[in-house]
Amino acid sequence: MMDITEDGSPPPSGIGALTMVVAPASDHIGGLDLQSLMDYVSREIGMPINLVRCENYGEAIAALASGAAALGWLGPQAYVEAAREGRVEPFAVGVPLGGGSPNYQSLFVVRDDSAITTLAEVRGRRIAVGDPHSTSGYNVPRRELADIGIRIDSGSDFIKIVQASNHDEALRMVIDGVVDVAPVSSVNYYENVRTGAIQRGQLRIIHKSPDIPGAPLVYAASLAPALKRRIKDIVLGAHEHMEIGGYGGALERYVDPAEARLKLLEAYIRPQWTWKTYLSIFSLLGVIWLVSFDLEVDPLALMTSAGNYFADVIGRMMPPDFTDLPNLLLAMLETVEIALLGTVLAISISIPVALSAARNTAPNYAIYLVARLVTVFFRAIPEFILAMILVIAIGFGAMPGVLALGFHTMGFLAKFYADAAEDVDSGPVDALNSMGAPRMQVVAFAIVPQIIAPFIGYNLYILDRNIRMATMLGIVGAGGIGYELQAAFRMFEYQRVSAIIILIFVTIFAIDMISSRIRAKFH
Amino acid sequence: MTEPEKQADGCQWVLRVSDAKKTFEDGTAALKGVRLEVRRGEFVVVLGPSGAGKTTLLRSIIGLERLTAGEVRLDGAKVEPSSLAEVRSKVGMIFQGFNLIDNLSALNNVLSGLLDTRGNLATLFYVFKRSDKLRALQCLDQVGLLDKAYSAAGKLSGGQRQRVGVARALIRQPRLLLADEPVASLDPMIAFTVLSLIKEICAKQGIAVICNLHQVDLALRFADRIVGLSDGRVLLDEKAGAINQDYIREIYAGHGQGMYFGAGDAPSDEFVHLDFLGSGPLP
Repeated sequence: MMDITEDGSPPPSGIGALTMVVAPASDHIGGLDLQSLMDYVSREIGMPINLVRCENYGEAIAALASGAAALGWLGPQAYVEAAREGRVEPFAVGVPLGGGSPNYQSLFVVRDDSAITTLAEVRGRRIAVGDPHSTSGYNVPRRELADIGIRIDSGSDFIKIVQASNHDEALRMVIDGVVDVAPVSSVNYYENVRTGAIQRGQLRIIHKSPDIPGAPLVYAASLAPALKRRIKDIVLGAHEHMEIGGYGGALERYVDPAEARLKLLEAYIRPQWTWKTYLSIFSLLGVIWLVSFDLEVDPLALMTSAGNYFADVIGRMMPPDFTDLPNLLLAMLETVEIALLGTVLAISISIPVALSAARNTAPNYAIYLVARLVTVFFRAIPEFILAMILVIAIGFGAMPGVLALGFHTMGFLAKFYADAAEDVDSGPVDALNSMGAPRMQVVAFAIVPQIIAPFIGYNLYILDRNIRMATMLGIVGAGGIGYELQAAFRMFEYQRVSAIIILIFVTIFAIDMISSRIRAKFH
Repeated sequence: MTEPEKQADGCQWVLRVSDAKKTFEDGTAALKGVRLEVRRGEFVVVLGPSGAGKTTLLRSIIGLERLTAGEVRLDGAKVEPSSLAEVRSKVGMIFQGFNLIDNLSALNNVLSGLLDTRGNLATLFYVFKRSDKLRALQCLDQVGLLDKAYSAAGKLSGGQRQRVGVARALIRQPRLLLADEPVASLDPMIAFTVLSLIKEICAKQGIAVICNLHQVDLALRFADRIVGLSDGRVLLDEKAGAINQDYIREIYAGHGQGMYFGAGDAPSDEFVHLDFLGSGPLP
């Protein structure tokens, strides 16, 4: 006989007897067999243990808190509450037969011949749920469904919600076709499969929840430390001496709660990169290889034979020939002018188009669609083609260049502005609308100031881009330095070509410096 | 969790701030001689109106601001540029705006709290050791978010995000937790839960907490000790139980909202006479 008052605390339930309270396992009638285990513990410590089944969770917690009961089983939900308040300490968690882990899951089960294959498809069906206190029959499935926007506690997401009194009943309801789906505890499900109550091929699992920790056996925090240790040792070793039972029926053994915790956390470990990631990476590499093969692109060739030709061309371009600089500068100026005018044209057309092409500023859906179509149309036609057509229509010179650039880049700018307008913070818009501001004023006050920075940024980018494009447009006869460039190529004047390239580079570089200055002012 | 070793000089303070002064380059004096000592496992709330120097105080503890005068000692070691890595490894921080990486999972956000000691090639690709992942999952479990481990942080609710923030601080196994207005962007109910969680976990693990707050009620409910800061000075430093609640309510939650804090002070430039010209019709 051990001294249970060694730390000075009064014996918890009268000298020489202990009480164990068992909370109502509402979902496991008959599935919580602790009698044989407690008989064994009782023999080992030489003290009778009275097993008391409580009416509700509160009663069980109160008995443990007051010291009236020394041991208990509270169910997962109530255990967490009692443990947080420091009234009870866990000492053993049961591992179901063949489970290997003390944790379990909530399973969504349907008849095997049901059409339902995913969790989302349970919407609008008939469901059997457990008691609202049940973890795996109610609370976990409720959370899982809520994550995909289905509410278990509202009549509108299901045509019928039945409350089953336990998991076995819920399973029977699914088998009998009373309901289409039911969330049940995996412990119960597999126990039914093991005992043959569920035939193979009768039911199908459509969804498995993450692991739920099994509820532990607890002792009252006030119990004497020596007795705590003794009881824990006996329970953890009990499986070597007898067939043990507990939550979920027959158990393999009891394990230390720390071990159970580790098992639970381990169940949540997933690899950072799955086979899908590797598959995507290898597929991408494969596609790149196939495309290169198809295009006969060979990086090695570039380094060997082609490399020699390359060096030859570069050699012929050196040194740059700047003798005709005044003419080149004039041509360059013309190019910049074409780009500038084209950009201004693009900006002025794109503002009204953008306002019609943003969902939150468009007058109506038809106009929105038309405006989006217009932007796509002009983006789709390369300015090169536009310029060629315009040269035929209105003749050589700067005009076709300006128009081609203006309309093509309008397509871009209108899309950029519209997207920026759609992304603005809707708060200020709501504020002005609520005060009855007219539609265009709402745009001017609440939307334009919010998109001014990206607006400036896009415009400068388009200007930069248009200067580069305008040099090319000269090639099809739309004026500027591009014409000089093409002429130089035709005459094999490679030194002049390099001079023109350097000129273009310096111009773009200067524009870039200026635009970053301007952009900085607006940030 | 390893028991922190006793310090050589037997001192029981985790943090000791002595005569801390901070004047910014523009001449603003944020701290005008602050003294603060925090014991192991103690929950200290720094209460004060905006601009009192609360944030500057926290930032100087982890060396984000260099003090103009005075010193901060963490576990006896002076906070200075050469000791920053050492100091920061002992500190966890929680932010008002959560400062999570929204597109990463809750788990990876928590793991990011370990990066100061895991700066290898693998973590560049988000690959962590199994033991680190287990630790992160344990921290998520402590804040009740184990089942959200693989949800993107941005998809979580405000309270859940701040709990991820708490887990990210906890995984560092800090000696000191700094929380700068941790619940200012949460609704009162959730603010209460988050603070309860911080208090409970830190008490259990012996982590000292310095928590900036402006809600008097929350301060009285959770603090072991309340430090009243105003205009860069400590005006109050007492055990929460010993505080005259009416007094503190009056100075922080009253009409002045701290504007008249410290009876002798002249109204600061924040003070604006709003109705100087009256509200009658204009000609």
